[in-house]
Amino acid sequence: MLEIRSITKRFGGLTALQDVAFTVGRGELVALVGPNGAGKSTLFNIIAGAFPPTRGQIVFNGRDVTGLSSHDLARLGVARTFQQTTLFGEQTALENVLHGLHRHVPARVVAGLLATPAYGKEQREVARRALGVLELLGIAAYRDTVAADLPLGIQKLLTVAVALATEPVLLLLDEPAAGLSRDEATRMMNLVASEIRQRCTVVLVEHNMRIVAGWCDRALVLHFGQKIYDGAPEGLTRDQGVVDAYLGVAELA
Amino acid sequence: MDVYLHLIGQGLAIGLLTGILYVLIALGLTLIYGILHIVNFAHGEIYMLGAMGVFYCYVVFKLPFAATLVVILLLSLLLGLGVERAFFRPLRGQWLQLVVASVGLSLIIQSLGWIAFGIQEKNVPSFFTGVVAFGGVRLPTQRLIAAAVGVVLVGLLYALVYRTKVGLAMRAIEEDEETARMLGIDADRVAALACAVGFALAALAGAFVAPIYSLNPGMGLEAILMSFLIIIVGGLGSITGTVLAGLLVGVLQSVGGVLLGAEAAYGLVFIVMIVVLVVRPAGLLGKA
Repeated sequence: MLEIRSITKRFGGLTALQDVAFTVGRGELVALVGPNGAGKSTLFNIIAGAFPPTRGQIVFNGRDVTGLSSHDLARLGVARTFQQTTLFGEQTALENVLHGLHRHVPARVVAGLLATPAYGKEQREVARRALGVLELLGIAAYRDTVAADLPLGIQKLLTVAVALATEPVLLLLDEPAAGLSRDEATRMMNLVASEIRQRCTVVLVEHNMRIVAGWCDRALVLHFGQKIYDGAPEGLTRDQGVVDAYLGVAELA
Repeated sequence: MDVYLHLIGQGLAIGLLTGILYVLIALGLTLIYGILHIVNFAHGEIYMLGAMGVFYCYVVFKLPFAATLVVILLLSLLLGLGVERAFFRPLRGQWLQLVVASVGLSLIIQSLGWIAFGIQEKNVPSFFTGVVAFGGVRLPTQRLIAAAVGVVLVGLLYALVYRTKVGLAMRAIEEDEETARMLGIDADRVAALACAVGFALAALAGAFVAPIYSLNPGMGLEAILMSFLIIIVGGLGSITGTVLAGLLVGVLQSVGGVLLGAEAAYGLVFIVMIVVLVVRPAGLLGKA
């Protein structure tokens, strides 16, 4: 469903990605692994439409989406979260999720201004859907709390909830477990590997081998902008290239 | 003593009625600022065009009053959509260029106004005559109706921003446009709507002041100065803050005018506003 065809991205003289190619099948849970600066975020940004690649093609559901804007890609069903929690901090958890539902709710400005009964009913239905997403992630209790006041673990779950509310076909998660305690990370990954992947294909960036090996179907390793591994997570520690490039460095650090 | 109390009561009432019209102009300005991050210097000219629209539709072409308002509403909405598309969208994010564009637009509309409308000041007869007395305070029906319409429009704006999907999208864009876009919110369309609504509010405010003041193409200047003052004192981007500050300015100007004379009243308004900003730099309801 997602096909990356020989993507290259240069920023001035710096080559962030060099001929990276891979495919992701429907329903897969794929981890993108690599040391800092390996090009993971660049790749995410390109897939999500933040900027176009210098060369290469992105095919999503059989359609060439190279160079489409993030807002077009959102409409096609690509959602992402950021490493830093990106939330509407001044608004409640429920309102945050409502933003995610945006493209699935009809506008009806006039009905809204007149506050017609049908509109009220529709609004309650939309709020119920948003609450359903919060319930799915087990954070419905925080529905009326302003996002900025939530603890980090809950904020992270909320960013996933907002992304999930867009009803994506492909969900890109940038280090969903970073900054979480071990228990919180386990809870997050259990959700990703069960409830969330039943609904969409997931690609996530992750550093932590416990998480990659514990929950993901497949690992892709980037190193200095090039793909050096594509296979089962169990094979990671046996691959000399990966060990040299990444694990060795991580152990030294 | 009784005379003073009476004058103050009268000034207070007139001030609130004037204030609500200031609020309409300033709300459009704050809405456009919140969504597009543009200080629309041409806002006063839209208000002027609304007032001139009344002169031409109602006085010259003798359209019925309701039809006049519909014409002004539709034209101002269209103008808002057009200006957003032609000037604001291509320059999004480049604030210096935007200042040049909107100041330029303001001057262009004024110049065209002087050419088209002439230098002769125009007067519009009252839409409604009569005076309503509340206790000892006597208020012209004209002003009461203008204020009532103002209250309804402010209510509609609240409903738009806090009760509709577009309003939710507006608040999302105001807080973080990139994230909003990523969630599939079409920020350009929402911005166009905000601009159209802002223009319509200013034009309708102009329409309702038409019978109160003498009209000329330069009349937007005072309106925009007062509106800047109001949105800054209210707290940039805050709707409720703008409403409070607008009413406060109206009352200060009116009560000050009764007690100290119209010229001194301007001084009073600015002194109080400067004190407010010294005590609360982010404005009444602004976030620091």
